[in-house]
Amino acid sequence: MPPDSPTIAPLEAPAIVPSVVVEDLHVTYRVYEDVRPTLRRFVARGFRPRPHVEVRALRGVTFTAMPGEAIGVIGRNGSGKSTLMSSLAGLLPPERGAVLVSSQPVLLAVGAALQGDLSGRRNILIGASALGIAKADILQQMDGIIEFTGLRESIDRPLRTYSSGMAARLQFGIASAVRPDILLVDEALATGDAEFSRRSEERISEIIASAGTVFIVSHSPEAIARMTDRTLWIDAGKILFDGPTEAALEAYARATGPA
Amino acid sequence: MSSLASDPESPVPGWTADEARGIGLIELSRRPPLGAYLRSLWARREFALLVPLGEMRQRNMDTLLGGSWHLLNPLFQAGIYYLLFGVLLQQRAEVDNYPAWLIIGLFLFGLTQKSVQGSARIIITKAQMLRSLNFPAGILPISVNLSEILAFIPAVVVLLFVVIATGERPSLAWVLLVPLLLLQVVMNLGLSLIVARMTVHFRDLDNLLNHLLRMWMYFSGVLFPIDLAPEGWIRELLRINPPHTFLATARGLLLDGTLDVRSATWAAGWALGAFIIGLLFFHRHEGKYSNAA
Repeated sequence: MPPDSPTIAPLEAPAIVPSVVVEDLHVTYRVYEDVRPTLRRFVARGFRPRPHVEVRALRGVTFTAMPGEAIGVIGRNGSGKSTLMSSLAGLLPPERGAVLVSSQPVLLAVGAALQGDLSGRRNILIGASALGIAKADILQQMDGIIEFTGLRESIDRPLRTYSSGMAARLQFGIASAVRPDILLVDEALATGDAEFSRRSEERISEIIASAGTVFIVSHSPEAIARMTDRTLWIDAGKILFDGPTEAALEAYARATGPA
Repeated sequence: MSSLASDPESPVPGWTADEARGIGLIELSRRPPLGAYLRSLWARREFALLVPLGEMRQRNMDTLLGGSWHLLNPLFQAGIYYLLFGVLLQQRAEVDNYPAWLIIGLFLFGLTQKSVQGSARIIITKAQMLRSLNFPAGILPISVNLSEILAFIPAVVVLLFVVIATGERPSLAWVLLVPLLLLQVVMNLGLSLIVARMTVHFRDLDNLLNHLLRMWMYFSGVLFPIDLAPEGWIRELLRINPPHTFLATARGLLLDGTLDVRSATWAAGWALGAFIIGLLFFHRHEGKYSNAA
C-alpha cells in the first residue's frame, strides 16, 4: 500500500496494517576493553578515547509483523535475539535502518532493572508509571495485578529477596497493567513455575486474540511450538529463516544437532 | 505492497519503512521534536516523583530515626556552623549577623551543588533502567532535582528558624523567597541537564565536578563577602556570578527586608539561560542515552 494511494472509499473494510515493520536494522554496541584506564595510557594514546571494539549485534534484519500474530524468536546464545527485542521496544538506537510500531511495545526481560531495595508493590508503581500509566490507574488495578502475579504474601518485601521466578512474575504483572498491543517476552517465562507459565500463556493468548502482537524469545522448542505460528531464526545478527514455526524449529534442530 | 523489503519465505507480505511511515506507524528511539519531548516529560511527571520518593524511603529505611533525618541533617549543619562562627570565633566585622548570612549562603548554594552533582552520574547509574523501560532520559535529572527540592523543604524551615533566632524580624519581603527559590530550581535543572549529558561523553567529569563546585562555592560569596575582593572588574564579575546573584537576593530579602533588584534580575536571567541551553543540549542526544555504560 503506497502512502500516496488515493483515499479509501468510506464503506470499504479497513485494510489490515502491520503492527511492526523492521527494515534493514543494524545495531552495534561499543564494548570497552577491560584495561585499567591510567593517565599514562591516556597520554600514550595521544589523548584519544579508550580502545574499544564494536560488536555488530544486528546486521540487516527485515520483517513485518501483523496484528494477531504470535512470533517465536530462536537462535544460539549471542545471535542477537535480545538485541532485537530491545530494539523493538525502542531501547537501543539503530545504527542503520528503521523500527516502526503501531504502539509502544512492552518488553519483559529477565533481570530488567527494578529497584532491589523497594518492595514489589512499590516496583509495580514505579515500573508502570515509567511506562506512562497514571498513578491513580495503577493503584486502582493494584489488587488485580498482585492477584495475577500470585505474590500476595511477598509483595511488601524488598525485591532483592525475590527469586528470579518471582521477579519474572512481578514483571509480567507490571506488563499486564499496561495492557500493551505489542508484547515482547525475552525468556521471561522460563523462570516461572508451571502454574505461572500457564497463567502467562493465557494472558499472551488474550493479547493475540484482541489483535495484539507478541514476540517470544525462548530456548524451549516446546514453548515456541505451543504459542506461536511463525518463527524467526536469527543467527549472527541476521534472519536465517522466517516462516511457519514447525519448519523453523525443524531447520533449527537440523542445524544445531539433536538436543 | 512491495515485497523487496522482506524475506521471500516470510508468511506475511513485507512493508517498507516508508510505507509504514505513510500509514502513521511510529518510529521509536528516534529523537522526538522539542514540543513532543516536553509533553512526554510532562506525561511522566508522576514517575519523576516516584523515583526520588522511593530512594528517600530507601535511604533512611534501616535507621532508627528514619524520616526525621531530613530535618535533623540541616539542623546539625546549621548547628555546627553556628557553634563555629557564632560562638567560638569572633563575629566578622564586614557582615551583620554573620551566622544567618552564612547559613543562607550554605543552604542555597548546597541546593545547586547537590542537584548538579547528583545529576552528573544519573544517566550512567540508571542505564540499566533506561535499557529495560522506555521513557525519556530527561526524566532522570529532573527526578534528581525533585529529590533535592524535597530534601530542601525542611532546610528552609531550619533556615528561617536560624534567621529569626539570630534577631531578624520577619517581613513581608520574605514571601519573595518563594519565586526566588523557584528560579534557582529552574537554573539547577538547566545545569543538571548540561552535566548529565556531558558525563555520558566524558565520565571523568563526575570526579572533576566535585572540585569545580567547591571552587565555585568560594567564588560565590558563600563563606566570605565578595566585597573582600579588590574593587574593579574582578569584584563585578564575582557579583554577577550566578550563585552569588541568588545569595545576594536571598540575603537582601531575609536580612534587610529589601529586594536587591539588580541581583534578582541577573538571577532570573541566569535561570532562564541555563534552562534553555540545558534543555536544548540534553534533547539533542535523546534516544541515545540508553547506550551509556
